[in-house]
Amino acid sequence: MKKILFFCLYTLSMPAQHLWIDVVPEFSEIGAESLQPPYTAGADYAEEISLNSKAWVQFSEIPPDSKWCLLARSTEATQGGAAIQLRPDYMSVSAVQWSANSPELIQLENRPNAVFSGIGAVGSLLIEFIVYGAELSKDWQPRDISIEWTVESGGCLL
Amino acid sequence: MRLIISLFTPVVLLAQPFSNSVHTTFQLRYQPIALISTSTPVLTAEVNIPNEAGQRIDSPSLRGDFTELFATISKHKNVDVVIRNPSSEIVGVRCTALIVNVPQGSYSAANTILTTTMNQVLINTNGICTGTQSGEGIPLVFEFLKYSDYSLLFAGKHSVNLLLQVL
Repeated sequence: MKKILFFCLYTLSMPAQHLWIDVVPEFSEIGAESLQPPYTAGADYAEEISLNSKAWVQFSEIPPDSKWCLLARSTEATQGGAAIQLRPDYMSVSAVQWSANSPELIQLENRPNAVFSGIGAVGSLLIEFIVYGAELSKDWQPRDISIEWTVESGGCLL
Repeated sequence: MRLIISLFTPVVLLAQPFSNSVHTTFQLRYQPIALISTSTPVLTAEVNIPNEAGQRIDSPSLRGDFTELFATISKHKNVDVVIRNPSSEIVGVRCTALIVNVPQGSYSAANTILTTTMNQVLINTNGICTGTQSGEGIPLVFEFLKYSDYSLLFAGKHSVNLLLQVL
């Protein structure tokens, strides 16, 4: 009984993986500065528009050599419009925590797509959001960009 | 032995597959945009001098009587592009927006418009993007009205200031 109690206490005190993701600011605006050329009559939006909103990822309470994979999936209710892409800033993490083959841009879709393959804890991984292929005559209504982020053990095949 | 198993069990659990999920949301907003410009800001007209005294000046001929309207107007609301001419202007000018295909969106144009009245609608659109290159804009044709009273014009240059506005 004593040993069972010891086991339970030890197991409960075990560190659990902790995933924390914050997107700031909560609003991103696209205006005439995003035209190509900017502020030019007759011009359409640039093919790629970098948003002010960025995701900050913290993943902790994990052994240093443990591999994991960060996936992102769009849960946006209204579909259509310009594509949203994710661009991990690999310089925001240690060089040993990512592969040189890691993709530069990842499309945000309804199915989970691998965004980042990590090893051990990550303090502040920065992920930028890109609006790709916006068109003035189609993209004008506000959109709530909802994302489900999942960290799985084992790393990604990036 | 049991103690050893108890001590090693957490290590085994740590190596177990894990999966954690969180949700985030942020809002993407497109600001209203209404930008217009013309390819040629200045048009020049020449007046043919009558052969004999007492004859009236007929319609002046415009040199470069054509300009293009470039527009980037978002779909946030229906917009009029209007043209204004000072009501005191003695030279009558007619401006017509031709209907052509533009890369994005569409527009309607009123028929020939006399610009001697304030705020005449030139085009109406609910979102348009014409392009920026020559040949992609909306052609605007300017004409001077025949039989206007040009006798009030003095020798030299006379400027007619037309103003295009998005309302």
